[in-house]
Amino acid sequence: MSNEKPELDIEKPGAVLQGYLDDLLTVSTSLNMVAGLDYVAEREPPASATAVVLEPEREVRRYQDANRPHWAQQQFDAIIICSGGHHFAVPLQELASLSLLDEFESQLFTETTSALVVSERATGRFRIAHLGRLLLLEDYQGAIDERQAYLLSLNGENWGLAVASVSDRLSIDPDAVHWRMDRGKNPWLAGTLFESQYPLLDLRQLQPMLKRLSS
Amino acid sequence: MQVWTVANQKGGVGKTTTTVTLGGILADRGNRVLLLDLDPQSSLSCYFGYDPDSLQRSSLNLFTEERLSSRYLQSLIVSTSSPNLDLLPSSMSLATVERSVNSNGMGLKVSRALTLLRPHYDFVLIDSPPVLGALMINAMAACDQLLVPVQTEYLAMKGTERMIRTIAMVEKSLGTTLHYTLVPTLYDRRTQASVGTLRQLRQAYPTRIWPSMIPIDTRFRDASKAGQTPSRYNASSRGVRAYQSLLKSLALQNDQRLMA
Ligand SMILES: Nc1ncnc2c1ncn2[C@@H]1O[C@H](COP(=O)(O)OP(=O)(O)OP(=O)(O)O)[C@@H](O)[C@H]1O
Ligand SMILES: [Mg+2]
Repeated sequence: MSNEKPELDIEKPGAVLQGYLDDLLTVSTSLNMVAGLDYVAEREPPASATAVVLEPEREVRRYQDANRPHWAQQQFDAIIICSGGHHFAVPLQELASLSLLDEFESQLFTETTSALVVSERATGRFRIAHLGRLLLLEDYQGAIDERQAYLLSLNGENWGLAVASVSDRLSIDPDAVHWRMDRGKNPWLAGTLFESQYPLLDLRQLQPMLKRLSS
Repeated sequence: MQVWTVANQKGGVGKTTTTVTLGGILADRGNRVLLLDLDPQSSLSCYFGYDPDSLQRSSLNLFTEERLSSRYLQSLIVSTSSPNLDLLPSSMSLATVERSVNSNGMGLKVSRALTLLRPHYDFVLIDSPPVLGALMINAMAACDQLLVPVQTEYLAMKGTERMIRTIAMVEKSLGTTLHYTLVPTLYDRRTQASVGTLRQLRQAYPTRIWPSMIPIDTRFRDASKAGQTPSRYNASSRGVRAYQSLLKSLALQNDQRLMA
């Protein structure tokens, strides 16, 4: 078809609208990346290169337990990430995307020991927390040259988490997690995986920590 | 499987009528057709006698369910009065999608979900709400062919300009072009408004506009009362014949696109 679109006047109100549409339709933050782990496939190809929505059905077992976050009421998927010399399990459902951290943003962390940097992006200010530094504080073991190479971003949030590596994807049975009855002083720690002993993160609970850091 | 979306941010222009009539004709011809109701007003679902207040599951689940599967999607689908014609109904609660959305890539949910239904349908026709929001954007992002009904009345030009601007923006965000066709509707050759507006539309969008038009035909309303698709209610009515001719011209267009 020919392209006889009339001259369009995409001005100020248009810019706001365009930003909204970009946000809704931006493919770079698609779930595909998380599901297929496209960016971390150097080690081994992902089990399935298809998107989350294309996965074969699996038996759904219902768990009802108040100590478990909503995403852990049934079998759930998690990726294993490393930051500050520690492994953590992160539930996929809470993630909007997993992408390579921008070169410049990665650099920011080597120039400071802060757990939080603010990056000016085309879409506005975006805060990035260095996961190891954020969680481990004085216990931080990561060598200063541990480069944070990946960015985890969350649905509907204008902040993300920088991590050094992403190693694995697991399907986790909620019964294979030692759930914490009382989150106490580490509200972000949902529990521990029985087999690997990796801490399982409740990402939403990191938000208050970020608020405190940036104020 | 082809996905056609019927959209216009202006209300009452014949979106639902276009969806149900084209879907009905395609199904009559033996195609497996799914109608997807993405309008919280649920006119399309009501058309086939479904009560949007009492439905347990609806197109809202496309947005809320974390883990969609083909079998799950099929559990959302209901039948209609026509064989070969299925419906994924809407519910009033679908309106919450507009409020809850601010997340990246949310506009692609429907597109992703529909890929799961590829083996099961020849056509999916999406009816969308007259609101520029996440639901309409989902419908637009999912389609191979966009149909924009334009009511041939005085204010049509302004509304059409606005809609075309929206299309341009969606194309920009998606990084692709949308194949869209303007469909003049509710044409009444006895009124100056209809005649004049149709002429203006043809002048302004000569290659985007379907060269014919859908006339006013009271049998659309009768068919809707009977809960039947217009083509099953009265296959030879003027309105149905107009939509048949629209289908023919879309088929031609699609072939041309394949050859390009
Ligand atoms: N060609 C036509 N001839 C006569 N009546 C029509 C025609 N097309 C639509 N109508 C009637 O006009 C009214 C509005 O049409 P319809 O519901 O299809 O519009 P819509 O764009 O879907 O509206 P909304 O924006 O509210 O969803 C309906 O009562 C319908 O029966
Ligand atoms: Mg409608």
